[in-house]
Amino acid sequence: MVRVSRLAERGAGRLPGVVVALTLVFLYTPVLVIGYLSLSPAGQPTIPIDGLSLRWYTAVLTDSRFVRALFTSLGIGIVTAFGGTMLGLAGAYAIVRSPLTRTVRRSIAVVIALPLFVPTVVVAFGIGRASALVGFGYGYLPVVLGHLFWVLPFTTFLIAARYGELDDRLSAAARDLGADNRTVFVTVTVPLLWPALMASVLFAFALSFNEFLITFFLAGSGVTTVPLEIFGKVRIGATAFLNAASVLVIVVSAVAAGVASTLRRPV
Amino acid sequence: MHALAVDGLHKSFDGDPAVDDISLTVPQGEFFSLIGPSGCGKTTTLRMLAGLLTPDAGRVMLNGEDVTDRPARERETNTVFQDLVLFPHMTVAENVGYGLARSGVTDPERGQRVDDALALVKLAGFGDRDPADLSGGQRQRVALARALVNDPTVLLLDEPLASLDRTLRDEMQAEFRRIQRDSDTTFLYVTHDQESAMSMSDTVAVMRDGRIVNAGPPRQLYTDPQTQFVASFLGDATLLDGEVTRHAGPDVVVKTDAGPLRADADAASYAVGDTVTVAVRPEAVTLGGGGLTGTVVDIAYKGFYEEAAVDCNGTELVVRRERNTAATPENATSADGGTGVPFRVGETVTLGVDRAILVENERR
Amino acid sequence: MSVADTPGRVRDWLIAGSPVLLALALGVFPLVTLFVESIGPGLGGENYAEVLSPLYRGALLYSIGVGVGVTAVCLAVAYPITYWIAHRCPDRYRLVALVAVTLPLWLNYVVLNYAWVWILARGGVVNRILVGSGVLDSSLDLLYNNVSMGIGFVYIYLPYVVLTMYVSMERLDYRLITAARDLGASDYRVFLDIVLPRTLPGAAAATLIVYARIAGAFATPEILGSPGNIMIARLVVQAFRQYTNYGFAAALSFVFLLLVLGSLALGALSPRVRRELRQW
Ligand SMILES: Nc1ncnc2c1ncn2[C@@H]1O[C@H](COP(=O)(O)OP(=O)(O)OP(=O)(O)O)[C@@H](O)[C@H]1O
Ligand SMILES: [Mg+2]
Repeated sequence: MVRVSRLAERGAGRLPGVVVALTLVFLYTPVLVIGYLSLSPAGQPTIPIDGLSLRWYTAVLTDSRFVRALFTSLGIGIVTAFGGTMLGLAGAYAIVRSPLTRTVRRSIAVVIALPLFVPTVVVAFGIGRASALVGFGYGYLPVVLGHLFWVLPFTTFLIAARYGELDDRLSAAARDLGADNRTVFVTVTVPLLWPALMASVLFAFALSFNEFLITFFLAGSGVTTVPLEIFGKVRIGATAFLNAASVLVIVVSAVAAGVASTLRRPV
Repeated sequence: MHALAVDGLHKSFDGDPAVDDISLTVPQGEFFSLIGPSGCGKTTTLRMLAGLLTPDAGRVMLNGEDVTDRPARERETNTVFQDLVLFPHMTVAENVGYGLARSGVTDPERGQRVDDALALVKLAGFGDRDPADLSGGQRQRVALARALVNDPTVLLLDEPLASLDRTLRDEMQAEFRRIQRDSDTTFLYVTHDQESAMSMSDTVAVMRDGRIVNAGPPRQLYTDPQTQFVASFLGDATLLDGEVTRHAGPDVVVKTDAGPLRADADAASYAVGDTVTVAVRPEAVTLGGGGLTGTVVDIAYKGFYEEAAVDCNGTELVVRRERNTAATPENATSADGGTGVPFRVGETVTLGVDRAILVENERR
Repeated sequence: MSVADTPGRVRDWLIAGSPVLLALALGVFPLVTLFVESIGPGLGGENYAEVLSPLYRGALLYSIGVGVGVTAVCLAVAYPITYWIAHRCPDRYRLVALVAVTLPLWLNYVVLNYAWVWILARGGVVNRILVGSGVLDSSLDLLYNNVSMGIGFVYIYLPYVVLTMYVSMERLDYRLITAARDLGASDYRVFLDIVLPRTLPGAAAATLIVYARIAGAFATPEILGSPGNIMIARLVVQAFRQYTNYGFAAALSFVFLLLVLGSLALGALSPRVRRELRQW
């Protein structure tokens, strides 16, 4: 019935469809353009490019600075992905399932959501100053902590959404059949949350891998991530090297996104 | 020794008592039903027996052992939940084997016992299916097998048939009874459906507002309910207030608005002049010959019998009669005493009441 | 305690504790630090006086203005998109469409903004096409102005807005629209009377998520914006980088934070939004 009326009623004319089409063009043109330009053999590509070559990919992947930055980003991304998901699971439990009072759970949600409505530059600056003042200084530890803080609202609310749908009586049934709390968690809760947990790991990885501003404030001189490296080069000028590096960065995140899109919720 | 003995169980939620002093005993191998209207505390009671909820007061004993302070996983009870709650991420066999795995039963034995349990509920060969791919009745059986396979001392069932349609429900009821006998397990069955409880159980306990008001074999509860609530909850009954006018031996005569009625006093003793309440079941009312006269005010066809509401002096009594399909109002002379002649609204009939039941009146 | 009510309270506090501790240590403590620094030695308040001088007032207002403007554009575009995906898209393609418009969420915004340089630059894609096809005689300056920066912002934040609004839009019962139309409402009235009120919670949530980040953005204005239009983030970064005048940068951050929260609160306080938010 709803379907029929949906097809029969074409309100608002073609406008929404046109907007969607234009948006897709808008969203994907830059990606295609950068991919196209990355194949230019010239160091300063012109449009159209004069020939096809992968030499800038070779250049990027043999550039020790870039490769080091890539490994740094991957490392921080992986630590953040798993750490952020674990913390997010704890946060989700606290918000949706724990017997804490409603007010307490609300407050926890607000505190966790902080990075969303406080401007990033303010938090980043604040963390930088606080870190310097308590003697943490700059480097890997502050960066990882900053990233964990930044991904926490995303992982928490992603997992909480699924956790909230989870039937409380399933764990009662498991306990009735002889499972202790840990076993209930391992055999019932985690398997049912699995897709959400995986999505959280992947999204947290992508967020961390692409994070720029917090890293900018906390990295100090010793740590360089890919976004920092690229940003530094962008200010100097657009080059073929940068195009190839950009494409590689996009590929890494797109792989994470691709894996995430294959995740299915059980049942 | 009793498989289950409960003594003085209490539970309040925010000061409102949900279960208020429940005591009961269930012998090994019995099919025991706990029935009562929605919200009377059945599920709450069951959850306390399962160890999923802590009672405010009272003891729970399983096979003579006090288990009140043991959590669910350490109790030899298993539950078939009100909405089944099968694990959606496990196959049928994994669902059924879950409890065995928790108590450390390992594979050849576990697989064997799972297969046996599935065979018992007539689901042999369904082990690899997803619960989501089963029909309602099949899912019901899986839930039953999942609980039964652990050989619980008492199997707790919380309205397991409520979500099924009537035909399936009747079929599953017979199955439950068979499985209960075959497995020789003690069943504690919770429902608000008095009909199914009456047909399956060895013992029925009727609950109201967190208390058990009457317990006993179904026949006894039906024929000799202790209170007017039980009388009307288990089947149809007309309740009449009256005054004892004679008390001779086991017999009491009660004067009601409808006329004098005879009732069994049992052991209780009444004095002439006491105000009492009696319940009259439709089967006890006969057409013709009795001392009551009334007017038919409503008729209802109920398949093979016909039911008439008869107004006797302001009180409605229900009388039933088998229907003769050949008879029609045209060839009928009178409903009174005749066989198989349809009732007609407005006609005057005479009624006899074999036996009324003296009940306690909670309203007073 | 009791057998059945395990998990116990203590354990729950511990579990809740780890994320909360992180959020407090990195969210609240730094803000307190900033506040202390902004007051400066001796409770002078000079930092705040300087922040409110016309020079910085301009940057503050410009940042807020960019935040409001870009958020509004994102919402305006997200409405038809989510409407189409939720109510017009064939069921089979709905997920694909949703993934397609939200995929850039996963990509690096520095890189994505950089890609726009190649499109808008004098020798970039747009100018080459316009000049090459004879529409224009010479290239236009499309880069490094408010428009190019706005495009960069919308590009990054539109997917967030779409994803958040989609939840509301999907919940909107299409039969309401049919009913309104049956009663003679025009598209415009349908939008105003049905779509807008029913999806306001989603729009509010989307605003909450992107507004503060746009107003406080650093990379996009640096890559695509005009060097002359200064947003707050650049001032803070400069102060931080040059190891000077932390107190002033802290005061600036604080005033900015209050402005952002204040403007969010202003929106949230309007009774209509409040009423709608309760549904969330
Ligand atoms: N967790 C709870 N918190 C507060 N009140 C509760 C809780 N569980 C049950 N109650 C209340 O206790 C009373 C008994 O509930 P219970 O679920 O035991 O009823 P029931 O007999 O199983 O009813 P039904 O036949 O509808 O399943 C009800 O008034 C109910 O509202
Ligand atoms: Mg119940």
